[in-house]
Amino acid sequence: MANNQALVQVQDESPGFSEAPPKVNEWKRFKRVFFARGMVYIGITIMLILVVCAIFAPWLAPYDPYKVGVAGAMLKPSSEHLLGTDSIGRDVLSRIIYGSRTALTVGFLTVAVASVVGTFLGVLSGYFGKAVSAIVMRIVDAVMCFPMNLLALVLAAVLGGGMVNVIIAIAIAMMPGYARLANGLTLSVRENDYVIAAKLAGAKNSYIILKHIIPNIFPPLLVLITMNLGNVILSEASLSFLGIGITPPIPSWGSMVSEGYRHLLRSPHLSIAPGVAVMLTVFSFNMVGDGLRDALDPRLRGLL
Amino acid sequence: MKELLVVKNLKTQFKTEAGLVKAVDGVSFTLNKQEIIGLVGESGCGKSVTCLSIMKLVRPPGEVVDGEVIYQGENLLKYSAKGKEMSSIRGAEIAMIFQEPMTSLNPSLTIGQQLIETMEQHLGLNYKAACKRAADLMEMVGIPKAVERLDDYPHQFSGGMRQRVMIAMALSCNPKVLIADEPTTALDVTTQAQLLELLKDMVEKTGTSLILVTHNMGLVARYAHRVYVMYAGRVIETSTTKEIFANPLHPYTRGLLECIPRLDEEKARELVPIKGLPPNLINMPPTCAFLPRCPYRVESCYREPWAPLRSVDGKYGEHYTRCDVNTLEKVR
Amino acid sequence: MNRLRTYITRRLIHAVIVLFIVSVLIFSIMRLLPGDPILLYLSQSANLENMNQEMIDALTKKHGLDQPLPVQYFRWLTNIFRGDWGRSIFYNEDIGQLMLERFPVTLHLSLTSVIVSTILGILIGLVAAVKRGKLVDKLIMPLTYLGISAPVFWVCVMLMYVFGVELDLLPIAGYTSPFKDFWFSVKQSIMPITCMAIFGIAGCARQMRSSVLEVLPQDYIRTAWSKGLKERQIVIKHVLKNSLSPVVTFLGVIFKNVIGGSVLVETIFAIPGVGRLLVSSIFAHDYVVVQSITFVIALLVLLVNIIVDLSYGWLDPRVRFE
Repeated sequence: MANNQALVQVQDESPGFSEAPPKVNEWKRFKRVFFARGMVYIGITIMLILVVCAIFAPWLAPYDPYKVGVAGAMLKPSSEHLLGTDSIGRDVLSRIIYGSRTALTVGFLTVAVASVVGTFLGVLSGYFGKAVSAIVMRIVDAVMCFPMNLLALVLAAVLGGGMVNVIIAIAIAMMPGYARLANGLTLSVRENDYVIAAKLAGAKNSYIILKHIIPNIFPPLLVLITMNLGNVILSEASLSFLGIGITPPIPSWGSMVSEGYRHLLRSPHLSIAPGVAVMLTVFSFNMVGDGLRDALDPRLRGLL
Repeated sequence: MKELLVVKNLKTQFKTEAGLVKAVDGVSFTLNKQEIIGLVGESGCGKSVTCLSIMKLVRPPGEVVDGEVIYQGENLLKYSAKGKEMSSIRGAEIAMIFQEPMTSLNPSLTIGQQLIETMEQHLGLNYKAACKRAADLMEMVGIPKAVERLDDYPHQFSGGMRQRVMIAMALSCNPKVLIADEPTTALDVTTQAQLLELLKDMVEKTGTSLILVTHNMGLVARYAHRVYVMYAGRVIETSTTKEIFANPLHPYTRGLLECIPRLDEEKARELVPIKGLPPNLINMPPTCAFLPRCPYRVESCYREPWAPLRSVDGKYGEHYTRCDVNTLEKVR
Repeated sequence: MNRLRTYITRRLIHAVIVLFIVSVLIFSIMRLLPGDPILLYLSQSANLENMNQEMIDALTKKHGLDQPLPVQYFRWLTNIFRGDWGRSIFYNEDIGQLMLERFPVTLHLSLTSVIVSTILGILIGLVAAVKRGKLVDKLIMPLTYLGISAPVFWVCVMLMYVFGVELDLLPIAGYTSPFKDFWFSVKQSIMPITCMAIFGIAGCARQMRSSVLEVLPQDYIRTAWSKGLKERQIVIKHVLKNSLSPVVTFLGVIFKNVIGGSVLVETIFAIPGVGRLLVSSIFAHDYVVVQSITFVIALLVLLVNIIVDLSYGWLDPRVRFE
């Protein structure tokens, strides 16, 4: 039955209970997506352990990694030498802990050089276009025709071994990746209205690049950096394994694996630990890199 | 028995981070043989989700939590979504056309391939026979040079053409029920008119029943036999088309009708939109859902979350509405 | 058809330009070497004591090393086109001949590895995506991460020890052509190919999974379901073809990775391929060989990239008509 009491024609503007969706806190969203995959925790933990090992190596390592062993060579793991000793009696565990220093140093320096130079070239190419872009990108294409390991190998050999040359060699091999990414990103950012507005207002190119372009292309580059850290460590390990990179007595995981290879019949165990160290390190960087990519911009899934 | 599809108290919910969205909150309707019914409402009122629920195409985080969908004596909801029962019903018995012709076709397969695969599956035709029938269907829906066009890809067709192809695909296996979810919303007005005439033709020719989902009351007036008006996940008024247009009882229905400009009005009339926004379907307060936007207030609006549908004497047919307010009386 | 032809032509011109730059790069790198190449060459070949300045000058003239660099470069380039790649100091053989012997070996292992990677990777990725969140997927995901993180050389050494030494199931070194002794060739190549393929399988699986997960919620997949097609048909016919594009891109990456890895794998397993030749030449300062090998490898990578680009047209019809 129709209820006609209190029939009121309401004229006022009732706000109603339909509201806009709640505002999302950007930091919270980032954290949520980043940690969405449980494995990211493992990645971060490993990274932390690594950094701690590298910084506090002298306090963590039971022995001096350079000290030629009095106890004996090629010892199997024991309570005194948790991972055994190598062919000249150095404690393997200590060398592994100190090896993190080598790995991280080479990793960060190489990526730093490659990313700065590569991005610089890429942004120039994307921003100024035409001739600059043609030349830079063709050279980038040419360098990318070489498998990274190969190029780093040849360059490192030509330059001579040693940490500095390894860093330079791998950095050169990695630069094109950054250049290409930065180029593509700059091309798309360049067309945005705020860039055009700045140009019309008479801003200098260097100002536009620094203030508008670079901050906006930064996130994907950061993701690439994180992922490349892992690749660098793999590359350096490969070079050291072959004997071209960082050679003993400096502790490098790659050269430690090659020792186990050379004494395969007698002490293959020498290869296990350093290889696992490399794998876990790279694993953690890849993990964190993926999480970063998903949290910063999932559209990058196809690109990176 | 003239009932073809009976939906009883269908409830579909989505678990989102913000809360539980009750997209469909107890929808019931009946589709009879050789009938066209209109499912009308604003964006977000749950009409599309209702259709997807019938076809068991609702994906997580959505889930059908209650209700029955009775087709040929069996409740479809008890079948598994990927099982062979639903596979044999979809396409062959109940077919669906979607709103977005631009993305509803697989870009890497030819139109022919997409037409034929349904027929090979449901009708057991061999390739040649299926090809021939596909060409016939294309011609029926008005695509010129049908035979050559079978080898073309979707991106080579315009939006209107693609929707025609969708209609052809949907009708290819002679389904008894066709659900058209806003089939012309994404297209221009002329194409809209052509497509709906085509749809009506096909439906009359093949004897299929049609559920026409739309927010356009004009289309409903022209094509549907009966109308169900939806709001915030429920049916709030239903009757035959003639009755609804002659005597809209629910304030929302009245609001919808008042927004439509009409050619036969003598004086310039102000178009009166329904003020406010569609409600947030999470945590609905325990009053009538339309209350904040309704020009009328009575005591019962505040009492119940949803009043039940009550029957009203309708001049042109059975008429049900949820609102207690007698808007007709007030107007007169 | 015309569009396709212009596209191919443009691509080939681009490739030629890049190849040219590659050759300049290679040449420059080799010339960066510290020290006089003649002395380097001579110090390899023997009687350094008997040399006097005259003979050194004569040799320098003979090898054209007194010419300005651009001339030397052109000489090198034209020689290559005539098929004269130079002579290896270390092996004392014609380099062209050396490469002809070694490249098939490397290609055999590399291509097999790429094919295995692709097929296994696609299957694994597809299964992981379709069964997302279930146990299978939860197991596959961490494994793929490990797969792309594992150092190739370490995997080689580990496998070598386990299967070669400890279990004594497989031979740990050497290579036999499959045409000569098929089964032994298989036994010898299982480990190297596995090592080379691990990155590819893992990477491909990840790409495929990610790609399929993007295709699955698309409207046209919903249309396919609404037509009553069965799940298997939908996955194979509708999902697969649309998911393959990113994976095809990845093929280029896999190929580069495999060739790069062959350097390590061939050295470890003592396989007489181009990778091992490269390493030993580097150590022997036999840089003419290094020059030639890197050039050919760059050429191969370029070719693979062109093939990858062309295959997009087949996968996505929209691209053909661009």
